[in-house]
Amino acid sequence: MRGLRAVALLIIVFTCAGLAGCWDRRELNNIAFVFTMGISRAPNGDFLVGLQIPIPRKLAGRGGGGAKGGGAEQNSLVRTTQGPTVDGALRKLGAVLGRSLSFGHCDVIIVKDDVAKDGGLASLLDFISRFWEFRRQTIILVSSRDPVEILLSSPELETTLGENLAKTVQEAIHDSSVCYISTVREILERQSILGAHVVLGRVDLVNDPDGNRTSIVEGAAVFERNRLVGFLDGDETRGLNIILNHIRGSALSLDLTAGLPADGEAGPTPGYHAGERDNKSPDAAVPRPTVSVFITRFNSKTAARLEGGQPVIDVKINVTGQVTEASYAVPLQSPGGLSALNGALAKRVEGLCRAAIAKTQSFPVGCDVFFFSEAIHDRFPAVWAAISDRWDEYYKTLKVNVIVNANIIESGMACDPISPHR
Amino acid sequence: MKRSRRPIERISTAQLAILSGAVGLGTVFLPITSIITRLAGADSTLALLAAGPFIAVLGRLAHAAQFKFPRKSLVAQFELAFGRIIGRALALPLGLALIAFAAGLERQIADVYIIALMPKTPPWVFAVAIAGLAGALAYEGVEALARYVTITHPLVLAVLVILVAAAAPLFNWHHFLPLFEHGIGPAFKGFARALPFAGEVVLFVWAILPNVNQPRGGPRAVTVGSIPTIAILIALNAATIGALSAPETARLFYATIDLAKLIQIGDYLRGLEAIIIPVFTAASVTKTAAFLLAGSRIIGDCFGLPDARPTVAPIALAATAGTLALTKATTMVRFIDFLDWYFMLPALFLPFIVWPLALLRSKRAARRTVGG
Repeated sequence: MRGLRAVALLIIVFTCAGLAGCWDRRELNNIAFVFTMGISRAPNGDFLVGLQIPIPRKLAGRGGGGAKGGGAEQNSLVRTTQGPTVDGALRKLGAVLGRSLSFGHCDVIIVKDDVAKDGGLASLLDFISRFWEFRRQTIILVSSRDPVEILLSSPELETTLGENLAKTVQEAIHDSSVCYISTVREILERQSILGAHVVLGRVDLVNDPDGNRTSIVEGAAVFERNRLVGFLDGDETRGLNIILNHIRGSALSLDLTAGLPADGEAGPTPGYHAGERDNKSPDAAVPRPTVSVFITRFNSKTAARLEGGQPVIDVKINVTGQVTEASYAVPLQSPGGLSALNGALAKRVEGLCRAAIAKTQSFPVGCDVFFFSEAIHDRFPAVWAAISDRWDEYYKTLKVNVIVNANIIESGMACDPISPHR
Repeated sequence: MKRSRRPIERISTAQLAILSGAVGLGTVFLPITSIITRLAGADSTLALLAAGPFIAVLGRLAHAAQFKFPRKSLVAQFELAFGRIIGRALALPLGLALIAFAAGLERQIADVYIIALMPKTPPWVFAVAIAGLAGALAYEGVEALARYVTITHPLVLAVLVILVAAAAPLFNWHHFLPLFEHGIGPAFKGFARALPFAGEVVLFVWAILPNVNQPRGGPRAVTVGSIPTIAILIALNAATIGALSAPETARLFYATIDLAKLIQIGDYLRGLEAIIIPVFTAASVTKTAAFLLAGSRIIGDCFGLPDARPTVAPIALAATAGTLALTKATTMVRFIDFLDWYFMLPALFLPFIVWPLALLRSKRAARRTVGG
């Protein structure tokens, strides 16, 4: 009896050891953690993969958040490799580094537009969705620059570029919404929806006043069957985010050069704020009367209906915001003034959405990035069945109504703008 | 004291309820989202919603007749219905199917470990580990198994509830629409595919009902125990489709772990696969042990061995050897499909054939005895 129990105990101990994967141990000092990955094409058509790997020794000794913790001390290294497939390229790198690569902390993957144009995105997505280490929260960005250039840029505040880019994207969504968060999950989801097209955020480099090169995320790239077909600029991306309800908060500037509209009338055509890198203004040197509104709440609903047997999309947007800055004497305390400002805000939001829709309809292939196909498919399956084969062409002439209801409910800590002669 | 002299093991109806729920859940929650979604697409949740009550009603009806045969083993009931030789011959394949299923499960579990966690470890390590744990548990008998699931099953359910709740913010309700786009056919296929899973539970419960201390309470206990299992399976299926979309779920090998990896709460809690795997192991061991135990009992009874324990050890070893052979085979999925359709699905309806026949024959025999 005792012997049996001893045998049973031994079995249990050994089996538990087996389940813990003792054969498959990966010691920490044998792992190279990849934080950021860049993918482009080599001249011979292979994938050229660049990896940014932090140097643990230097990360440990960087102290309490020094401003130059990232770039100045070079606490990460960048290595490149190439191969016919992404996985094939990565396997070669293990032999160079002497450590096994770990992708569990890879926050951002940067794809050069040449890979995006030739359909290489499909290969990358397949690899990521099969490989157990990658997370579906990993963000994929497109760049017109060589990804290695971006990998070599120096983040000022964060430790690594991946961390910096991921935070930049998140913050940009909260503050201005001029970039698009394209996670692996979202991309795969888009690919599984009939008629929907993939959108990836864009990343670029800018020169800082102190000579450093810093990454900047703005705009989006639109794909048709894993092939890049065009780009959206910052404002169009903002319109995309509004329609998709992705906005967490956004500062919109209302150009009131033409004055506030009369109560109940449509506001002036929205312009561009100087802070938004405007080059469309006829006279950028002259300061214009502007009101800045921070949007605290966006709510967008897309619905399909039939008009003469043809599907029409209604996008209804409710916007709630607060005035954060006014260089124009807005009569915020009069109902008429507030109503007119609401009209201007609604017009501005509508303009952003319309610009995004018009841009995607103007691509050589109509690219529905707003899931309008899903709205038609859900509501009118029979109509969808009739147009699904030619959806991309159909989308180019699809009628989309954008109805915005703006409601400014706060004016911050002050009521009226500063007036020196009051 | 020798084991064979132990009194007959008894479990309470509450333990039966938990045990049947645990066996129903077992490893079923792992592939079900992918398998059924592959067949039914976005309608798979509806297929499960239909299958759940159907299974509950069917199980209730089937087991309602069971109290007519208190303390009689499955093989004894087959003998009553079909006679000694034919009854045993018909019962034996069911026992063998359960053992084969246990072996298949071990292989599947090994697959999940390798694909999701430790790709460099050979599959036999996991197969042998699960076989060892399940074999030891099955050897200890029904009471030990019942006590084990009393601890583990609530944990498994709790983790799955947390997983579904944490995935709720990721839901896209459009993934469930439009309903019945391709007619009722796909949903019916998904419905039919869910039934063999219920057949497994029926077979297992049938084999251990003689151990329940109050046989009359058995049917109710099984129904009550199955409700949380059915509910969480439906919720898990809906969560997977809601968060990943139906085509993506159908494409994945093990959609539940992808769902767990997707979850992010705040900046630091990323991915719940770390809490999925322990409960996955516990649930897998339960189901493998339950099938080993029930299968060994049926096979032992067929060969006139009253105590299941002497048969468990060699059968567990044989099943492990079979698992190791399966780890080299590439047709595992077809093998499991074969068992599902030809053994587990009929098992769901077997009580409706065996019990009426057994009742008729036993009444006739009683009349003859009285008359004679």
